[in-house]
Amino acid sequence: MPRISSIDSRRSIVNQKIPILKIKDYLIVPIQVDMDDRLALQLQMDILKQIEKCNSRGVIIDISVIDMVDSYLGRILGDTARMAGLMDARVVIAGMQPAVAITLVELGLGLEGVYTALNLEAAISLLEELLDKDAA
Amino acid sequence: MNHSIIDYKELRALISVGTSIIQETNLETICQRVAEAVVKYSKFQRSVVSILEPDGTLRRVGFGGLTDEQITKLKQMKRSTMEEKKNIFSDKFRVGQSYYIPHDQVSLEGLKSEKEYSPNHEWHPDDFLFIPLYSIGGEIVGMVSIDDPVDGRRPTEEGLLPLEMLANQTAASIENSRNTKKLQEMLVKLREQQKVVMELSTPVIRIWERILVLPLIGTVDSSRAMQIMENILIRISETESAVVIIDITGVPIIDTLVASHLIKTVAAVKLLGADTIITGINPEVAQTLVHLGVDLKEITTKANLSKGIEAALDITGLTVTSKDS
Amino acid sequence: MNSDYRIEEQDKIEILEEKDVVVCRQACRNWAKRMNFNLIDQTRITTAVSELARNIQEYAGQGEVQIQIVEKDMRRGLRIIFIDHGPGIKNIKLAMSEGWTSHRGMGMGLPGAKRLMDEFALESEAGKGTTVTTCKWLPL
Repeated sequence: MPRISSIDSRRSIVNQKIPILKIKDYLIVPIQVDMDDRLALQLQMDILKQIEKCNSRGVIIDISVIDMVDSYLGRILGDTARMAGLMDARVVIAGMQPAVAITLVELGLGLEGVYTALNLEAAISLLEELLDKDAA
Repeated sequence: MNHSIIDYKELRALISVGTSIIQETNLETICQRVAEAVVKYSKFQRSVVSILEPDGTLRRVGFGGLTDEQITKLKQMKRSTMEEKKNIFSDKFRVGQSYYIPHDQVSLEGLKSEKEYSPNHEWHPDDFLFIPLYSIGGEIVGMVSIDDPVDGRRPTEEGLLPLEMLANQTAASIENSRNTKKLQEMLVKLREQQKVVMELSTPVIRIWERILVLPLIGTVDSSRAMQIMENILIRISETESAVVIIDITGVPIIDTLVASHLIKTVAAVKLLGADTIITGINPEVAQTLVHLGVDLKEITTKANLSKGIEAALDITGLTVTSKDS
Repeated sequence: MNSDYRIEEQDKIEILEEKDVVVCRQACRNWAKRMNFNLIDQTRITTAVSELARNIQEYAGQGEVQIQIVEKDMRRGLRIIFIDHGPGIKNIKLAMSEGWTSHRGMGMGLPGAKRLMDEFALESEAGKGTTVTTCKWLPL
């Protein structure tokens, strides 16, 4: 039976923290690595803590370089948005790739109640709009 | 001494090779395995398997019992044509299904045997022996050339039988492989044509900055619905559009599967951060959607395309006003 | 049934810890990419692998994932088999139903992965382990 040598897939998985940037009243979270479950859960905690510390009203999670969202990461993203909501902060998921969106829907996850935006710029406009509405 | 009796061990080994190559789709592999099997299991110590190409030449493909230099030399040699082989494949040389050409009858180009033969050998180093490969339809598709019998004797009808059986299986394998390749090429072509038709039938048009329109016309089946979903999402992402209007005025009926694709499309568009507006739902489609229990709360619908465009402009922060006002 | 598949190439990846789920899904994406699956199918495959490899890690602790390029009826496909010797699934029907979950995930794992792949077969015996065989075919 043919057999090829194992692809060098054990490229190191960065075990670093995902950076959370503070810009004005917002937090921006650019996810740039393929996260394992532990790292995703850690990120959820970090975002919530940062919201508390900075009194943030809005969070943008940029997933434009993420090439896969499975049910676990989907749940983490959805939960984070709802938890942030309880702390009076809005979460917008920005830049989801078309292939990821199709797969998520087929998987049965619609991320109900989560705000989405095409890109970072649209996410900021959306947050401003949402917060204006809250203020009114 | 009777050397013309069939060697059953040889027969069994060659038939088993023949059976194993019938599944093989690579022509080169088929010919190489046959050439090697001839040398390994029959009394002939050298063999070349050639394939008849569409241009009428015989391409030497499989080699058995030859050195690398000899193979290179053979490959460089001018290819013979079936036309040239005509005077060889004549009844006077026929032995069974094969043709045996003693060296003094016709002069042919080929590799010289490097072996010394004792004078009492019947087989001369410059003798030739060809087994034509006949397709099921009786056409010649190639040829096996064999040489250097280990016993130095001339071939007999019975003695060649096992090799001829292998030759028939080889011909069938070659034909099979060629048909498979043809079929695959046809499938690829068909698939490409289908793709073109699909793309033509699902045009996503950018009508204004950040507004896309997809006018759906005709029957939508599941695979087209899937294609539509993929097209819409990719176009939204490329153009960074905020709204896509799907106009289904031209769609007579919608079934459960298509309805569920439509719902999925709306959900996926939402995930990208854009909105969907569906326009032109006719009475039949409205009935179907409600009977199917489709939840339309999530979907924005408008009566017709122009109302849809108004709503889309509104979403993107634009309004249409008359010049007079 | 397995005899219909001709295996062109194969490899396997062991699932020993949480990180291996990521290693495994990245490897499967590379295979899918190399086979020229389109971007959407690559993502479907990667996501299904992530769900099923996680199941191994979560329920059995460890196991292995076999990746094969197969051919059947003139079609090429990527077949991925998930094997563990964990506790097994007592109620397969329940496990395959929407929304069922033990803890992690959203209960979309098994039925979701099934929807993303073209072929999906689950065999499990309580106390012996679980094998999930999946396949995605290249378009003709």
